Amino acid sequence: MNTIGIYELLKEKTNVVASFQEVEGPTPSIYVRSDFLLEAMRFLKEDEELKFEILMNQTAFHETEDSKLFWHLYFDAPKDQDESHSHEELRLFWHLYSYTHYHRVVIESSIPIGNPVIDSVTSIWKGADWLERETYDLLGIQFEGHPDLRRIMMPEDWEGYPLRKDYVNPTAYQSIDNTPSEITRSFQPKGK
Amino acid sequence: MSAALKTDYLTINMGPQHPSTHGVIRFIIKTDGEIIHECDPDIGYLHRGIEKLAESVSWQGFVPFTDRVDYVCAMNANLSYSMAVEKLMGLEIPQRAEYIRVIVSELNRISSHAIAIGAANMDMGAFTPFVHLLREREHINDLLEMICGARLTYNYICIGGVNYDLPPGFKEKTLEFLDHFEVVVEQINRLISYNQIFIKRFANVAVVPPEMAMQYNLVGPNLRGSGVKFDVRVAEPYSIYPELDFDVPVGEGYEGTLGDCYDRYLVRVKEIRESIKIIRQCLQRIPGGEHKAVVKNVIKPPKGHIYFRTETPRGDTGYFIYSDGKTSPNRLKIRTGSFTAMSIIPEIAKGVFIADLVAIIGSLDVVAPELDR
Repeated sequence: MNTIGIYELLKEKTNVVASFQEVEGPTPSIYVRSDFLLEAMRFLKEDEELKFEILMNQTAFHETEDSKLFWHLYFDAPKDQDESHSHEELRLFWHLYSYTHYHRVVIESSIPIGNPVIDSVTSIWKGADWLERETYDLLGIQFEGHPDLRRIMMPEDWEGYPLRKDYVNPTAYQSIDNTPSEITRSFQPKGK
Repeated sequence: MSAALKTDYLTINMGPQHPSTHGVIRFIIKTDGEIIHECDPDIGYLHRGIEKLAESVSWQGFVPFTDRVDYVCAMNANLSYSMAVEKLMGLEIPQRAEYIRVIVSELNRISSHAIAIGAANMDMGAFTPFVHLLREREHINDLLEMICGARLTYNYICIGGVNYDLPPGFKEKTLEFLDHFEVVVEQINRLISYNQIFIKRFANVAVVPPEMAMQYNLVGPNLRGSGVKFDVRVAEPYSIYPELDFDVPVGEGYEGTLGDCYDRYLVRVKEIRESIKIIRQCLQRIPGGEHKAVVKNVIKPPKGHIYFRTETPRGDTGYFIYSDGKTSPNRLKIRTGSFTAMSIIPEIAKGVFIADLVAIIGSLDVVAPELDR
C-alpha cells in the first residue's frame, strides 16, 4: 500500500490528527501531531491491512529557521506555539516496514526545542529501545515511558547534545585539553 | 550453618579490550556462578561522530567516511551512501557502473563473511580456519587493489558511478579466484562447519525466534538465520539485482533449533556461494560504455529527505539523509546492522554460560566501528 492509502486508512479508522506531506523529493510521509503519536503507531502495527511489524529506523534532527522545509504545510499546528518558539524545533522520523505486505511508510512529527518531550514507542517495538537512546544522547529528546533512557554513544558525564545545530565543541573534557591547534585553526574558513 | 551462607550475584567486567569482542566493546555482566544473569553492553568507545562530520563536508567528501563506518565491507558502505544520494538527486548512472558496483560489493561481501566465519571459529578456539580464511581474503584484497589501489578503505564507488574502470585482466583473475575459492569453501566446511566439536558449541545456543528477531529489527544474515526469508536485494530491488539469479539462504534449524548460533553461522557460509554465483553472472553480462555519469564538482541535491537501504554483509545499512539544498547534508543518520544486533544481546544472553556469550557475539558478527559510528 502506498503512503496516501495508509494515510486515508489512518484518518478513517482513528481520530489521529495527521496530515499527508507530499513534497518534492523521493519520500512522501505522514505528519502526526506529537500527542497522537502512540495511538497512530499502535494502529499502524496492529491493523490487519498495514501490519508494520518493523521499526527500521528512528531518528531526528534539529530544524533551525533556515532549514525549514514544510512549514507552510503545517495547517494544524497551533498558531501561538509558532511564535513562542521562533520556528525552531526538533523533527522526528520513524521508518516502518512490513514483512507481511512488503510496504513501508515514513511517519514524522515535531516537538518544540524548549520542551523536547515525546512518547516512547518501546512498548510497541522493542528495537526502539536503543534507537531512542541514541536520539536522546545526540539530540536531547526525552522519550516518556522509555525503560532505561541514558546516554549510549557519549560518556555519561558529557554535557550538551552534539547533533544540535547550536552545539559548541567543548574546549576540555575531564581536564583533557581540546582547544584546536594553530594548524587546525589555519584551515578554518575566515569569519568563524 | 547453611542459613549463614549468603549468595549474591557477582558483577564482572568484559572488555573494552578483549580478544573476542571484535573491537572495543564492553560488557557489564552480572553472573550467578557460571551463568549470566544480566548482561549490559556498554558501547560508544569507537564513536567518532561521523554523523556530525557529515554536516561539514561536501556530498562527495563524505564517501571516504563511509569506508570508516564499516571497514570490513567498505565497498558496500560506499554503495549505500552513493545510491542514497543518487536517489535524492534523481541521478541515472551508466549500466556498466551498476555491474562494476555489484561485482565489487559482492567480492567485499565474500571477504567480510570470510572474516565473520573465521572470527567465529577463532572465538570458539579453532585458530586454523581463521588463518586460512585471512589468506583467501588477501586474494580479494589483491583484486580490489587492482581496481582502486587500496586494500581496506577503498573510496571507489562514488556518486554517479565508480571512480575507475576495470583494469585489463581483472575478469580473468576474478574467475580464477572464484574457481579456487569454491573449493576452499568446501574445505572450510569439512574442516570446521561439520565438525562435531564446533557444532556442539554453536547449536541450540542463544535461540532467536522469528518474532523476537522482528521485534528487535534484526537484519541480514542474523534475521535470515531465524528463518525469515527477507533480503533487501530481493524485496526492495536496487541496482541490477532483479536481473540476477540467486537464492536467499535461510536458517532451517540445521543442527537443532531454528534461530540458534549455528543457523546464523551457516547462513553466512551459504551466502558466500550465492555471491560467487552473482559475480559469475555479472562478469558474463557486463556491458561496455562509460563507468561514471557526468556529475558536477559541487552538487546540491534538492530539498527533501530519504531513507535508503542496501544489503550489506552485516544486514541492511540504511542511510537517512535530510538535504536542505545546500552543499553538505543537513542531517545524516546511519542505521547499521551491528547496532540492532547488539541491542538484542541483553535479552538472549540471559541464562547462558559466560563462554557462550563469546559464541553469541561471534555468531551475530558485530563489528565495533559500525556499531558506534
